[in-house]
Amino acid sequence: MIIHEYETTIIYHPEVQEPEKKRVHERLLGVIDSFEGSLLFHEEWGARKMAYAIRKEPRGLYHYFNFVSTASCIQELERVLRIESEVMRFLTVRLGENVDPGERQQFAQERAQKAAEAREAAEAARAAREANPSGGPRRGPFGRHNQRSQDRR
Amino acid sequence: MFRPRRSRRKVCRFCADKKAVIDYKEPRLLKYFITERGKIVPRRISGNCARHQREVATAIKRARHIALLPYVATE
Repeated sequence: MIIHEYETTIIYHPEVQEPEKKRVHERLLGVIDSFEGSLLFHEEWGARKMAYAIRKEPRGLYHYFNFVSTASCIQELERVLRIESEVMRFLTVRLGENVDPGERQQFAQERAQKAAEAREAAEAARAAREANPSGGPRRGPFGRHNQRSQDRR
Repeated sequence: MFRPRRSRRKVCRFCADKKAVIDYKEPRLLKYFITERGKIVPRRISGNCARHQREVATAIKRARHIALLPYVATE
């Protein structure tokens, strides 16, 4: 079977209930599983302000899925997404054709590990800064012009 | 009197900087290529090469669909 790599972004209604969300997620994973697929990566972007209102809601809860599956999986996945009333909008993009699922899985794991390490390092750096605040004002990306550029915005 | 207009040759941002990726999930980068009204900036203004302009246009359209960028922005 030819396996492709996809990413799907889902926008939930901002007031979606936790059990409802979990049920939809499990349903999606079930669909992916039943089409020889597997999830590589899942991320919640949180409730973001949208560029325009959907269903009169200015905000939406974004969820991002990265997975491998067969092509026919997308048809079923999108059918399910259209039925689920808590899903306001979705977008699926094919990232790679005829990929090796094992290799993609490994790549995703390494990427996740690197991200976790980077997060840890940032956390440690922040803790160190709080424990031992160095003298002088903190400089932002604009150097000494930082304050001014912020004012202008 | 006719005076030829001299303008600096624009270089495609994405050809100059190979590291920059065009991603529809990155509205901050794409904002650079839309007008205040939300229209896609044409190549002759943005200076993108044909290939990258195409990629930017696709990314903007995807970003619009998932409401990261507006279809129309009204002041």
